[in-house]
Amino acid sequence: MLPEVLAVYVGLLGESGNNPASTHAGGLRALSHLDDAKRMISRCLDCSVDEIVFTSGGTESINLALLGSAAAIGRRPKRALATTGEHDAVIETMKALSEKYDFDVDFVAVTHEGVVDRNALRSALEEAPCGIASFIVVSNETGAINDVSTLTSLVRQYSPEAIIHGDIVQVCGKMPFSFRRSGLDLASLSGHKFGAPKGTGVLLKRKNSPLSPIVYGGGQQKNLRSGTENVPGAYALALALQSHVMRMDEQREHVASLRSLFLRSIDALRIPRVVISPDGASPYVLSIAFPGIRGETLLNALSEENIYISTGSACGSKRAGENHVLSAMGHDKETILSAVRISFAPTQSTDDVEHLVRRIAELYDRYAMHGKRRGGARG
Amino acid sequence: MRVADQFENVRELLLVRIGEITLKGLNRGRFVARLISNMKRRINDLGEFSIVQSHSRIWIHALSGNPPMQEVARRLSSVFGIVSISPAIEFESDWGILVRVVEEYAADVLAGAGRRTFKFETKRVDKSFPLSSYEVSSELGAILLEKFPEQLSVLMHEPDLTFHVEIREKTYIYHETIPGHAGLPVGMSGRGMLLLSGGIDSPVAGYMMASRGMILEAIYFHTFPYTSQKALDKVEKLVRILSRFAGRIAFHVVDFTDIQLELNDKVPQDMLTIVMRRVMMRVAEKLAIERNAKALITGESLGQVASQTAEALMTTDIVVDLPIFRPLIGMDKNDTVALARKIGTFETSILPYDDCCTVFVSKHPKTHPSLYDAERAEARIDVEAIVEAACEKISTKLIDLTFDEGD
Repeated sequence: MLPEVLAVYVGLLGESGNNPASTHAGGLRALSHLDDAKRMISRCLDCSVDEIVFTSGGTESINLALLGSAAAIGRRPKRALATTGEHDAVIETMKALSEKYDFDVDFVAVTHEGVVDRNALRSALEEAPCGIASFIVVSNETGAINDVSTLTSLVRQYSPEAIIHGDIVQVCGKMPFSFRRSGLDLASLSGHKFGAPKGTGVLLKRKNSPLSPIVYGGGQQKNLRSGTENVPGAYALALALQSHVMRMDEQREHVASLRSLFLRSIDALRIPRVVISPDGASPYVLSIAFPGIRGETLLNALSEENIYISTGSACGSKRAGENHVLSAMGHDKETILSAVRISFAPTQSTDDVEHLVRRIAELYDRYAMHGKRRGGARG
Repeated sequence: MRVADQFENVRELLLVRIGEITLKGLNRGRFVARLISNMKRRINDLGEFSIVQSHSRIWIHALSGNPPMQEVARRLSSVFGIVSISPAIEFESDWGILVRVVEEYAADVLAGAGRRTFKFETKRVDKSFPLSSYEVSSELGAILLEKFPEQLSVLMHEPDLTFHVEIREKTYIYHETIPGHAGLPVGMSGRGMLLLSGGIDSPVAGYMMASRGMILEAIYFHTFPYTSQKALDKVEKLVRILSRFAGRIAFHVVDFTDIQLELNDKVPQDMLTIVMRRVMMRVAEKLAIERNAKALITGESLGQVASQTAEALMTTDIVVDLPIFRPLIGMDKNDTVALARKIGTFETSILPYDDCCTVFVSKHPKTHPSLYDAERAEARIDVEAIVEAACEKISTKLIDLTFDEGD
């Protein structure tokens, strides 16, 4: 969490009676914090303050967007489209639409570069119109960037009434984003991805897009998300977002230089590698495979020294060698098993990156089951 | 408020039934003494108890404090040697008291319940009691019917509730019978060294041998960083679950990474698993002998995987002299899974952390290796030195009984 955000957040947690629905002084102060938060967010993401719904995180935002749209689908076709590059939160919610809400759900292919295959999308739309569409804007696995306004235009050519949702979790604070110009009706984001507390998120909802609540109660947030607002969380989210957006260009440049330093150093040490992230991907995440050593082995060894990377088959809940995004991009099981995902952050230094690369080289020499560094120690 | 707290001179107790042990003839005293000492260790943090064997049962009274007898019963239900347990209450043999206690007891059982069928079963050992057992049952039944007309109706054949009344020197009431895991008390059948992998089978094999009275020790081969700390934590959790049945278990972890790397370098790929298992067996045996264990225990089941064909088992069996107990050898996987669920290891076993067998597995292992294949595969390694080195890298931890983790 950003230190300046933490201080404000903790201060707000200590304020008594901060229920924005109350009419006493504390309540009014809470209400004004909530309004301030919305104003900050609206400036950062180019949306209106009326388009902001606070949630408990990306997953809840996505569930509200997709399940809430399905419940309000009206005369639109009960068909939903997403891509094979989506995050589990979208994939699993789409499955629920199919199993419990009687929707036809299709997952459109991604290319080897990890972006939505426009031809596949076009033919899916030609097949039948859709009522809901959902796209990940920046892939959490590879950093691949979809040109979202092109995708929304394409969908509207065939299904003008479709409700279109964007997963912008990996976008916020990392690259410029305009909700107004995206063509999206709904967009989901998560606070803790940019230094706000865990348990905070936002759903952006265009004014006329139909949406039913999935949580019922006191009718807060225009009855779209009942339950007393988490004012400290909302305010901290807005503050963290603003802080990143203000420094976005310089941070992005720094992160991009770290990423290219990493790749240069890997090559200088002749560690065999396959870069999975496509050219032009977000510099914040790099998907890369080191053939010969399992991603899991690197992760285990590095985590012992408090360096945290992820494997291609994220989350302990999955079997080794399974990664729906990398498989959808056409990578084989061996590559997926040896894939890791490295996150670059503005707080890291070139020393950090050089240290990481040296450790990867040492671990490769010691633990690679086959394949050798050219000129490496065991070579 | 518990029923016993509402009356003076009414006490809670547990009636524990012991099965096989009662058939042990002259050795019976030793079996019972071991069982009682195992029981005491399982509950001594909950209070002070008197545990006495008489009338082919074990009777447990709390001596001090007010321990939760349901919790005591739950813990004891996993002690091998116990067939079943009934939480009961005990009071003076007197008709007037019996009626009042039965009314309260039934009120307690029926609180919040819907309609229930019931009957009484009375056993009168003390023939000086004025009513016959038939009279006691029918009188008490009538009283309860009058008191709970909305909730109770009589059913003689398989009712929902059977209230048992036993009139001895004192009178006892119970209605619940908690099944135990039977078997023999741990400690009556020597010590066994269980090779644990983290999968479904090996914990079940350990459970089965402990149920025959074996003290368990467990050995795990850790290949960090190929396998994670989480994989080791998972195996330790399995040991912890087993300790609910088997009591304290010495858990030995072998740092196996260097050996695994050497094997990977020097052994033909299609024989890697077999050689690895031969090395593991030798290490386990060396440790077992040091620890005074009389057998090795594995979860192997004939034909389940390539390394468990008759030929493969023969090639691993032959490198050790201690007997290898394989209680699952002829079992169907479904039955093993059912047992794993029953003892509570299944959910932990299926957590998806790789063990060394899956990381270092060859794509096409030899399924029918000959002894010659195995010996030739070991030609380029110094087996004795490797086993020696592995034994140098063992760390041991005592895993004690725990009851807090989910059942």
